[in-house]
Amino acid sequence: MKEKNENKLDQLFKDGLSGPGDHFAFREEDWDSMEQLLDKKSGKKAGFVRMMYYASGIAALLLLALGLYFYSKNDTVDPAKMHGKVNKTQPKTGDGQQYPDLPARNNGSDSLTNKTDNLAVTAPAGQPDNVKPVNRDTVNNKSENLAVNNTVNKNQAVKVKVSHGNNVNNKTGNDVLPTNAPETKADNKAAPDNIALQLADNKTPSANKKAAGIDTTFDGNKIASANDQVKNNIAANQNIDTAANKKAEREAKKQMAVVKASAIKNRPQFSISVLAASDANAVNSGHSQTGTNYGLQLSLRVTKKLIISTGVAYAIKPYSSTPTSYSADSYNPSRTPSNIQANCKVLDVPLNLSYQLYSKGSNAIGVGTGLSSYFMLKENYRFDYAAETGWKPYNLEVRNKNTHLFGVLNVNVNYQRRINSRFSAVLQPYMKVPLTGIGNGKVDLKSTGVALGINWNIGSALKP
Amino acid sequence: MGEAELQQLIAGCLQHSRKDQKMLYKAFYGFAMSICLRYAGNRYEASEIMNQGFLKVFTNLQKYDTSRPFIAWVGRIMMNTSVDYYRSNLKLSLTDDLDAAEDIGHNDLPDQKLNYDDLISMVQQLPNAYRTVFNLFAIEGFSHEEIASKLNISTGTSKSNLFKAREKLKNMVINSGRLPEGNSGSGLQTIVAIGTISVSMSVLIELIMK
Repeated sequence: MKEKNENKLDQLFKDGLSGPGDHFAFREEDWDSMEQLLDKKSGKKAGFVRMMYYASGIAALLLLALGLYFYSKNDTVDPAKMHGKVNKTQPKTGDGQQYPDLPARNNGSDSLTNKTDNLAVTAPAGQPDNVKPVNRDTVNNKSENLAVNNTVNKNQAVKVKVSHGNNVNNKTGNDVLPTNAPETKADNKAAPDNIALQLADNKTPSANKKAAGIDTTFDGNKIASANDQVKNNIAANQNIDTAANKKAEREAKKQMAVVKASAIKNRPQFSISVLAASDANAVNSGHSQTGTNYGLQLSLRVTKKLIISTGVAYAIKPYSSTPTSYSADSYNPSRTPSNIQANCKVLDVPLNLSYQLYSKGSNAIGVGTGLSSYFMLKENYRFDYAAETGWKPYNLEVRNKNTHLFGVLNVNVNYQRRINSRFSAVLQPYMKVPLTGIGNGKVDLKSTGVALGINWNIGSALKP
Repeated sequence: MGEAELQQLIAGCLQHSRKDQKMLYKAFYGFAMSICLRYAGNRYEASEIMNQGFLKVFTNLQKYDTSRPFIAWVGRIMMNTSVDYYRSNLKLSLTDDLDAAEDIGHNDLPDQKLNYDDLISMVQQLPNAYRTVFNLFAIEGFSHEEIASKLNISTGTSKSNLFKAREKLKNMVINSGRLPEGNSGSGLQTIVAIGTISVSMSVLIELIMK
């Protein structure tokens, strides 16, 4: 520091430049830009608070919708309803028991409620001799056997078939179920080879193809071996009631888990759309003026056809109104204007429900309706007076005063064209009809326009 | 401005009173501008930096420690805002002999007084990196280590930038000193010439009269 102080050059500048600062006269334009900075800052702060407020509202609505959706979903997995449910979901899950719902041939048995029974007994079409009536106990047991047989590969199936063919009266009949084997008595003397071959030739029902999603090795041979197995067991297991019941319970538990898993798989699909719109705003079908909207929309596909959507849009709505449409107590009552010009900045928070009418290829068309909440951010009004009065136009600005919760009815048509697996283009003609008076003048402000945008399907991103 | 008046203004600014904000702005305008102008390349940039500085003053007013002088707090904010403004291009570095920096301006500087406008225009002609280091070292009184940590540069870079700044400033000062001398010399020549002409003219007139 000392050395530096000794430096003449430094001293020269220090003395000359660090004066009292009276070299500069105040300039008004500098303050003007300072004011702009201050306005921007406070605007940002207020905007942030406002956005947080609205965002929390939207989040609450979404949570409510999601909660309702999952609540109703949980109802369907009620254990009390499991038996009926299991049968319905069998073809989808592709588990061992989930064979197609073939027509029952064994009319004599009223206890055959399980679909697997139908398969086991009736699959060998054209072999009625082999079909035996079975009771519930054997049905349950058959389920278990089929589950095990599902793991049998083609070679094993062939092996089983051959052994049956060679030894019609053999006792074991197969090596797949050793526990049952000692008791098994193959009484299916009527050409088991034929059964197996016919089964193999049998076309797998379409429902089975769905099952192939999980069990890709499922084929006719398996049905054959399963069929043989079942028939072997029919005779053998008729008396083993308790064991069968336990197995049935286990099966029920397994199936419950499967159903739950499928419920998780069917979780709702989310998508986000960015939309920009131009619309015509008119009061009481008067002269319309063009406004603009920019918005973000979050959609939740609750069923294949039904979509709930919400979001937020910033809308600029200019319009002109007559004094009759504009609520009289909102302006200076002593002076009735000849015309009112308005420009409103609105935050539009819609909650819509749409139904998909048509969906083919990459095109989808739907119709929607719902309610919008208008948060009037800034309303500017200019009241013009008749020329003969000589009065100057009166300007009025209203900020953040009026809020219309679910005060506007939305009707829209939605056309989507898929661009790729994630994105699609959106064209959405819409109409907004107020159910209540909008803004300071409580006017009947209708908006009709077309929104264009991009929709991003984020559904798969949420999958576990 | 009295202390009580200042406290009143600060209280008003804390309430976001635009009137009080303007008065405070006006009161410290010259002081803030004189700091920002030293660091800025021109008046336009200086105004921009100063307003950003005032924005910090207004938005952080609640953090001001009332036991310390307000003007020093404002000054520090203006300095920091200025430094931040040019931080991105402060890493100019030289490989010259750094020790030579201390010698510049010791001996070969003419003894003369320069006014504020001359000095500020000289400082503004320096590149940003040199100007910032020169300001911090020569005027604010920071050490190279402090400058290095403030600007996130090495002490070597700080010294090098100071060296270059001094070199450039010295040349500007010397040149500015020579200019008036040259002017007075030519004035003398003019006087001599005019004198010579008038003497010769009078001689000529006398000869004609004879």
